[in-house]
Amino acid sequence: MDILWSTILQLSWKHIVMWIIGGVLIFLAIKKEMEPTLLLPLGFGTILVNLPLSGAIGEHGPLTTLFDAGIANELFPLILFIGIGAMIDFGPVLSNPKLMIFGAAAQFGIFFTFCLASIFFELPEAASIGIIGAADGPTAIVVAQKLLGSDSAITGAIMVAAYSYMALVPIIQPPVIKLMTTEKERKIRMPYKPQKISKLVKICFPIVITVIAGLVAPESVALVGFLMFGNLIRECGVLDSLSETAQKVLANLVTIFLGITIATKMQADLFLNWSTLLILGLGLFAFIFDTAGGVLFAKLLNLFLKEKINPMIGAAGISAFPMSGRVVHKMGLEADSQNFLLMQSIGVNVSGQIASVIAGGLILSFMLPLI
Amino acid sequence: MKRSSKILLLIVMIALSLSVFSLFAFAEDGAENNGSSGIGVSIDFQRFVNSLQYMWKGMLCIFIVIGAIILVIYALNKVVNYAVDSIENKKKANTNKSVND
Repeated sequence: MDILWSTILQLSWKHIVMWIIGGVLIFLAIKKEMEPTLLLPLGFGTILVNLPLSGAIGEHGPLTTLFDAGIANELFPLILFIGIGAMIDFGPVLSNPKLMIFGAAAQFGIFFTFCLASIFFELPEAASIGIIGAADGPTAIVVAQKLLGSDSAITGAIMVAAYSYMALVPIIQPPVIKLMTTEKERKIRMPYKPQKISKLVKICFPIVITVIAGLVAPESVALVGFLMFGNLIRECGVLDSLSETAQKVLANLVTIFLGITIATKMQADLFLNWSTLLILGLGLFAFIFDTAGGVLFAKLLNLFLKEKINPMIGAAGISAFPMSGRVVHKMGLEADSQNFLLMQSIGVNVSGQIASVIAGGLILSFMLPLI
Repeated sequence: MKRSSKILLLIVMIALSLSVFSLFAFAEDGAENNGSSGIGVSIDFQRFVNSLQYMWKGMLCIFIVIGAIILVIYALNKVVNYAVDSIENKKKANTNKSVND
């Protein structure tokens, strides 16, 4: 009979709190349909690892094995990037390349949060917290793992913050955008003039981006390279089956493993501490200042431009693809029912994906020599 | 106050509260542990000053890289369009020549 009670007696209030957190993530995934591919495995994994004496973790636990096999060595997020690259159509960016500048501006939140976080944490830790602002789960995982390693107590909080706030983009961004723009600015129309982009340009683009990013920030080669490899598979036109596999089977498979494996860092003893709260707060700042950075940059450009830009598209420069682009398009329609910003906002959103990966590489280049 | 402003104010207040609450919690930990918390957190404004260099370097680098990519895309479009037009013109010229012959 002792066997029945021994585990229950090991239960603490911390386990129950983590069950509630897991339950909330599952609720958000199913009921509110907020990034279910990420939050559902994360939520369920949280419950799995917070059962006393759980067989899912520990030295030979399957989640520990998966973590060592795919997250400790950053393999899973990089493989996921192949799938993400295969899903992205860079056509809107290639037909209007100057929109890419907003992708750069929207990375402001990463560096601003890095500076804020450095008040409380060492620089490598602060940088790992700042990268939450990349709004890109794989980039956050790769940077945090490289800078902090698997044993850091804050890695879990960083990963959870990155994925959770990505799901909350439709809630976080609109108030920030509305605060920073006037109704007149939100009504600015941007006629879309599609340009035909040749297949050769679409094939050369991923190769050129990899070379440029690799020369500037060699640490970003893995991130940018895998993303662009996936895109090359899509655009080459001779690997349709591989492209489809990358977009669907590979991406879904890795997402399942990634989501449930990240939960190994959601153990109560690791997660329930003051630094987690601070990291969640700083992560929120990162997203807010990303949005603000993009919008303010667009407003700055409007001072010099004859043909005004709708400043809302600056907010689409964060890497949360395609949610952020859709949020901006929806807000454009709310301001003016004939204001279609989808192509421009998606173009900026896609460029944000590239810029966030480059930002991750730069962070690694700056911080790795300090470790 | 507009609804969006209320939501934003709420978000910022929550974020600030979390941060300030954690700050006081760290201060207590720091007092017990001679200036650093047991979980590896310490308050150091000198680090903030040191980190500012990475902010301006990082943003500058990103803008330079993205700017370079934009220029490369424009160049790529021009070169490819020129090459494609040249090939098409040559084909037309050859077709006209064979018709005249």
